[in-house]
Amino acid sequence: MIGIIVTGHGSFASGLKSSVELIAGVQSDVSYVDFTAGMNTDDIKQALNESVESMGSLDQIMILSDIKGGSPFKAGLEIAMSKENITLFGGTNLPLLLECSLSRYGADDFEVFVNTVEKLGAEGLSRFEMNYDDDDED
Amino acid sequence: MEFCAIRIDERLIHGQVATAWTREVNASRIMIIDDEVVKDSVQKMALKSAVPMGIKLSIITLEKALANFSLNKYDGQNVFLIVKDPKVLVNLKKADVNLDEIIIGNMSAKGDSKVLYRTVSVTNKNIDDLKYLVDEGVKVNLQMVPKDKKIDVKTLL
Repeated sequence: MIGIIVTGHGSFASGLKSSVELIAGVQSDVSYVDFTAGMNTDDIKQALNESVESMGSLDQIMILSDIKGGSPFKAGLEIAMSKENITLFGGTNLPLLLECSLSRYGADDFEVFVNTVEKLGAEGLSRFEMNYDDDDED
Repeated sequence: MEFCAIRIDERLIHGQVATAWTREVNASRIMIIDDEVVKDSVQKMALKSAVPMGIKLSIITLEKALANFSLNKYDGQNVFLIVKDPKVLVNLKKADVNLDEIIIGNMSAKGDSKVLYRTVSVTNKNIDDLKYLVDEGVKVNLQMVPKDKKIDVKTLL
């Protein structure tokens, strides 16, 4: 089983939590760690560590952070370097998180799963091209 | 004509539908039957933007739908039907289209409507239509997202 930890500055994680749960309902094995004003880098690392520990029985853990190089990302990086089964992302968006949450149950090859969600998350950020062709009337 | 799922949702294709439901019911095509939406280019554009990649989309009138069904146009496809108004389903039922189960998602409040449950409000006309479907033996349940428990509409009407 694949666990997910979402983390980011301010209410990024808890904000995504409310979005995901509105769209797809409460997800199991997903935790949300906010890095809020008043927390220092040790605090965020400790909070992430606690989440990782609580998922100790899972095969793989994905830490989805808001921005590469930020404190939540760096705290995740330190944990990922000390453990075998952690995959770290920066630049998390709602499409990436939804894809991870909903498609992890059928994933038998973890590498294929990670590559797929990375691609779909990246494609989720896109300018919408207006297309007036009526190809939908059949 | 067999559908892989049938949903009443006034927002048609939106986050819950595009992400959670389409996957849950393994749809290969989303079909909107609505005589008004067909004429509305803005709504149609918005719907196209919301269709998940790789899923086909039909936005058609009731008349066109029945014509296509009689030609077996969707054989081998998993068609996920979404309508705004239960009236469309009543008309399909009257035309002998097979409706096994209907899931109600969002129906917004209107003039004389009353709240049936959370995000589902129904007018007297809606209630008559839903009762007709129930009486015809169609299972009608409320369910917002796949993880929610189904609520039999009979217990609410």
